[in-house]
Amino acid sequence: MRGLIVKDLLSLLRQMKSIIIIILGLIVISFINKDYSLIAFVVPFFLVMTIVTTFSYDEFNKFDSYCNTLPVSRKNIVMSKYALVLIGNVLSVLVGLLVSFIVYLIDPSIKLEEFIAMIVGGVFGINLVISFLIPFFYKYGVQKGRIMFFALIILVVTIFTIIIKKVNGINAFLNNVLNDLNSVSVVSFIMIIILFMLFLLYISYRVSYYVYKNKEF
Amino acid sequence: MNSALEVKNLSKHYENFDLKDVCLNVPKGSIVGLVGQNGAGKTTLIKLIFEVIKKDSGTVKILDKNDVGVVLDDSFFPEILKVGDIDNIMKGIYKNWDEKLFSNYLKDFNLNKNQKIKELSKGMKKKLEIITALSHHPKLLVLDEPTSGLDPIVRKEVLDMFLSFVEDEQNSILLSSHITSDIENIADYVIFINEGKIIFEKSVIDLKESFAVAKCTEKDFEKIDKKYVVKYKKNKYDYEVLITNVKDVKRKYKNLVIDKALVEDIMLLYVKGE
Repeated sequence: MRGLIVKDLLSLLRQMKSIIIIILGLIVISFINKDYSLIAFVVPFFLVMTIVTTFSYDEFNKFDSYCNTLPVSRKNIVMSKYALVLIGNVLSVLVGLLVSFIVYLIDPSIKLEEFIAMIVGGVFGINLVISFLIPFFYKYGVQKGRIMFFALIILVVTIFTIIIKKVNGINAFLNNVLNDLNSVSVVSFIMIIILFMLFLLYISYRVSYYVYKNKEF
Repeated sequence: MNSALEVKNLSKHYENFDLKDVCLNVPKGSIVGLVGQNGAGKTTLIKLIFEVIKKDSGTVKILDKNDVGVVLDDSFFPEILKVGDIDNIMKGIYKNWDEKLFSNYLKDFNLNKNQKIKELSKGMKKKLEIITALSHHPKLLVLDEPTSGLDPIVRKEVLDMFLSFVEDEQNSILLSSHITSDIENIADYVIFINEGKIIFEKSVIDLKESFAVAKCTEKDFEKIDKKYVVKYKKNKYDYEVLITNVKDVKRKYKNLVIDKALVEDIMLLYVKGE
């Protein structure tokens, strides 16, 4: 399994240049606009790029056929992608912290805590997306998987909007939940989020493995 | 186990293609060549052996995957990787990956570690795939079209490499190719597969002894006892006849012009003949 993680990390490294250019671009735009919230997107962007890129390289070079002839089980093949997600999480949080620190150095008027909270939120959101996205990739491939995934998102958002519009009181309920969350300490809040993320990724892994187990290439 | 690979009654059904009851055996120390036209089922068979696709029925007995090296026709590492990256990756995959051997092979074949795979020519890439399959001291090589895209000189180099690989009489190779002369030159056994079925499995020596091609007129063709005729093909001016029991035929029909049958002739007559 280690070899597969190395493979994905090296493929990323080989195109790090374009990722860095995009990140720098985002930072420059933020400074011009004096709106640093864009930078908070750097982290999730980094993470999603990582995952999508490795999947599309695998698909483009039909790596899965070859991979299944190597002494690696299908379970480990799937697991290696999730290991990559975890590594990606750590890396992108580090990148995020670094970037926010640099922003803080340049413009001390921003609130660092808010910034970090934004990054945590971004990471959480993106892990949510990734947890759904990977099983779709395994089931339908990168191209079709992406389309199916967006179709799902649109469907879910539409349903939610309808529910929120139709059901009175749901707004009040959501406000209450948010207020309750405010009273929780930051540390335990982050802990809860991390645990929830890990749980999501685990479920996602089980689904992906279920799909991949019988897949043919 | 005296075989490096043993396949029994392997079947796989597709809507428009059936691989049916395929049996094959790769004895230790031998090279087995799989021939057949495009779409005959060679790649499907190889993918079934490694469970890249799932079989419907049958059994496959193969050495531990750590002892097997594979080259597939159309599937390898992401091309954005550099040649040298393969070393770092395979270290974490094969128990007995030999870094030094790999880098010696790279030198021997003039491959540059810092070049990206996508910058390699088709032939160079094939060489890299073969080298990769050899660098963990495998005991069995399974190669799907390993010589396609290689120029004659490199092809010769690669075939010699395969021959020296089995020299110790323990290592074995299963290779598919539509370049039948390659198979004729290095294989001990030939398996001919057509439309998902194995037509025959014979040693190359047997094959040369048991088949021959006669070219004759329609009149002569009528005279040949049909028990000697395996397949025949009517051309514009003559008949091409694949015959068996060559010695008998030569004795009985002294006027008949009989040539040695190349694997290619046999394949052609089986596919195109009646």
